Amino acid sequence: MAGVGFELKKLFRKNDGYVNLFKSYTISAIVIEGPMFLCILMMMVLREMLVWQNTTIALQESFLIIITYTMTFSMIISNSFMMFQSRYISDCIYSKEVDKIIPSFYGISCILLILGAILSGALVSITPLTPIIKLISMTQFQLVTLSWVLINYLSCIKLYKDVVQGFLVAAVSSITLGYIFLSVGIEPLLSVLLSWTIGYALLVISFLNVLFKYFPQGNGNIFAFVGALDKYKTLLYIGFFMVFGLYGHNFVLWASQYHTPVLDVLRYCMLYDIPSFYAVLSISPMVIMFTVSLEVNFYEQYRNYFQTILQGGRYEDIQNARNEMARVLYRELAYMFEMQLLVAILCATLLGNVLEYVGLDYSSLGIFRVLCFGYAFYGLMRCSIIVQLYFDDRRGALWTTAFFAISSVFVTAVNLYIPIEYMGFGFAISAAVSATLGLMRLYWYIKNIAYQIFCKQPIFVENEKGFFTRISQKLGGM
Amino acid sequence: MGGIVVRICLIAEGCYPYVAGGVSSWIQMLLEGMSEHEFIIYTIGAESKMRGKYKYKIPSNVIKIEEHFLDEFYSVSTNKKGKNVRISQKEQEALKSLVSGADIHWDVLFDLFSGNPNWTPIDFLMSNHYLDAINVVAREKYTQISFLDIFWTIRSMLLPLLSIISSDIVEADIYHSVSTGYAGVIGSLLKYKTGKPFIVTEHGIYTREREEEILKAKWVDVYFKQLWIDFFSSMSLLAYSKADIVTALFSHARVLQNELGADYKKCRVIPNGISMEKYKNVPALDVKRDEFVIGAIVRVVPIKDIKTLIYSFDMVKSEMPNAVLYIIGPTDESEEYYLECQELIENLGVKDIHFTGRINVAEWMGKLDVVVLSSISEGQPFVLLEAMASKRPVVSTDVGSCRELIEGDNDNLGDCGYVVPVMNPSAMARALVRLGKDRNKMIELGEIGAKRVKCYYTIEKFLETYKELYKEVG
Repeated sequence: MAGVGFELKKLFRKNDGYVNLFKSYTISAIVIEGPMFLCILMMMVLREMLVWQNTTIALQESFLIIITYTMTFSMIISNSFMMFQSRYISDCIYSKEVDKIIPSFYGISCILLILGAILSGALVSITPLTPIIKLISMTQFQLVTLSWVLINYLSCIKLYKDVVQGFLVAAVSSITLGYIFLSVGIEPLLSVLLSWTIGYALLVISFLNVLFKYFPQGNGNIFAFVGALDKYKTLLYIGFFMVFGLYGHNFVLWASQYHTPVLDVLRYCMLYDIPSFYAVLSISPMVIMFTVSLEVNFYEQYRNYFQTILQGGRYEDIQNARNEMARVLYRELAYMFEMQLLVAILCATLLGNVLEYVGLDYSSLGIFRVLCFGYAFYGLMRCSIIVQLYFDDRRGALWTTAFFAISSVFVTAVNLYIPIEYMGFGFAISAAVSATLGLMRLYWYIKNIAYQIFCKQPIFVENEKGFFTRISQKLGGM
Repeated sequence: MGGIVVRICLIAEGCYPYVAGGVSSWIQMLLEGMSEHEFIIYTIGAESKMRGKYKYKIPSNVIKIEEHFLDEFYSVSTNKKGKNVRISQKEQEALKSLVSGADIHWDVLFDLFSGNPNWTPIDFLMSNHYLDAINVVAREKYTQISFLDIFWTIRSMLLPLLSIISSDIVEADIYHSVSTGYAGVIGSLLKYKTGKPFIVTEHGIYTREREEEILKAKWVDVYFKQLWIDFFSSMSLLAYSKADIVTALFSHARVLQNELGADYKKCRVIPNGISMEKYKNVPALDVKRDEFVIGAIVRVVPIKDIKTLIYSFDMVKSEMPNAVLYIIGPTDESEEYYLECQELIENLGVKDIHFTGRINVAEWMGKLDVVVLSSISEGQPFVLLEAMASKRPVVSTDVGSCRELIEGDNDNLGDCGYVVPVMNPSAMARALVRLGKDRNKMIELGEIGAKRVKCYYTIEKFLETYKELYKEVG
């Protein structure tokens, strides 16, 4: 699970001094957050082109809504598989069965494309878009979904650089194509959507190239991975709850009196979505810190703890290793969260003022300020979940994420009765409570880790054979 | 009790009815000799593939055979997670005593596990209680040993023991275990649960045998040898303390039992007995014979030390070229050892050694002049009694009750053969040559042997003593 951190650690080891440290963090930031920024850049530039073409606000809005819906819903379905996928890939690598990886990619993609076709088909069918736009929207939905799956595969094997390169190619080509299409007079909405789609197609192709370069083609049943769902089905729920919790509060606002209708039937909430979009960007420092510092330092202690057990450590050695692991983890978590709180304060004050200057209204500004703290807590919870999964505490992660998903929707819904500028509190409260619960569970787990590790071990190892294994066998695999 | 049928539960470990040998023959003899009583055989075998494969004809007074196998305990299929049953402070203490192996609170454990479907051994071994107990011993007793090894070793050590404790109660009037060890634990449990009398009979000294085995064993990590030895000795201690009567085959064994913790007042000596009737037709030794025929009636296995016998026969042969050695008994129990023996014979170039395989001992006895026993360990070997009943002189290593059989326990009958040290081919050869060169001496010693058997070691006497014992405790 330890991802990009290890690649980056080399940078930190080699270099000393603040300049180099700054350089290292910058590189890390580019590698970790680069794809997202390139994606946003693509969207903003294409939108600016629409403005430059003197198109109507409604058309610009249509473009943004199609992209937003595509991004959001493709993320919800693909992220549900993300945790499971990472686990499956690392298991395959661990058990030296790398030839199962490519087939699993086909299998998961196949499921997601079917789900995606149904979901995007349903969405476009109720809109008044022209058939060609509908077709392109659906295609782009599938491509974006594939790109999420691919990013996860490439991240698991630390190919972050290739991910950034892929995005760079996609951004440059779609912007160029957008400019060309608009210049030659193709209908504006079609131009931007088509160039966006082609950009993503190139992205997917370049990712596929990398994937095939690193993993053997493999042969065998593409649904062999389904068997692993018996063991890891909770990871699907965890993945789903996590991403649903992230967007659930937006959906509540879409359903509320504050919504803005677009394309007759689709909705969004300008007052809420825009500040939440900016606020979510503010947790980038935490994400980088987690990967670069916490994961690296903690993982060292984590590995040391298990090695102490496996390599014949005495009772005392094991106790010491556990205490050291706990100490490093809590120190890193505290350090990371302190820094993120500082960032949140800076964003809420300084950045808030800047956003006010560029035209965010009073209500949205209020929402933005609260959500900066809300997402800080969300980030903290997410970290606790990842650490829980390091310990394979799937039960803890499931309860924490389920609580988060349900509470963030519920509290936001209750919140609808207070003035709009305080609307961010729903998500913030839910995220803060969930983060607390997640950390408490983690603390409890590490305190009792010996019970978790030793007592949960079956006396005799037996494969969990259940519904999913039978399904997988029916599909001809295993 | 006269006329009333008594139901006796005989508890056997690793022998009857799957393996032929001294203890099994003893059990068969007891069963056949007591047709007035009913028997239940509670047997603990090593591997479940032996289920139903009996080496003996089960007498009709055996009403039931309860078969349990150690490997079955290790292959329990379980999908469940550790269950954390709430247990009392007293029970927690008892579990700790079990894991640490010191002063085990057996009664509490019997109540906790026996007949408790809500808490199986697996539940315990996967519970926090087990880990708590392991933590205590890791912290206090085995501070310098790998924790993981402690965890798994004790788990695998306790699993069969606890499985046995958890098994169902067998109703009987008297419980009689034919060793300590697991059989002794079962007997103790049944005694505790039913309050019925409990007798322990030991052929060898279980604690000692396990100790020797463990010290030699490669599968036990050196750090854990003491742990395993303590484990087995605490099981023996349990049986000694729960038993109403502890019997040994010979007086030295009784002394050992006493040293290992059995109350001297409970201990008795009840020797083996054989049927004189069966051997009365064995032809007498001739005063003159061309050959000197030596017989070793043994299973070809390492503990019988056949190699020393072969070396010693090689020496005999150089002085008495007319000597012949018959090794009489199954050769298939340890194929590897049998091959080694054959290689040794080839390397020494010694002639006239024959392996006969399984035969009828009573029929063969007539062909032999002398019976030799080269074992490293014995209880009270039937072969010596059989040879003596057939009026054959014997040469035996000084193990178990062999000296008592040959020299007598102050009975003024005289010696019926020679006792030689263990693993000493030349001493054994000297004794054999001495006999071989003096056939009159052979005949004289043979007569003494027969007299001794008739006085002390007949089946009638053996059965009578046990009948009395059953009557006494019942």
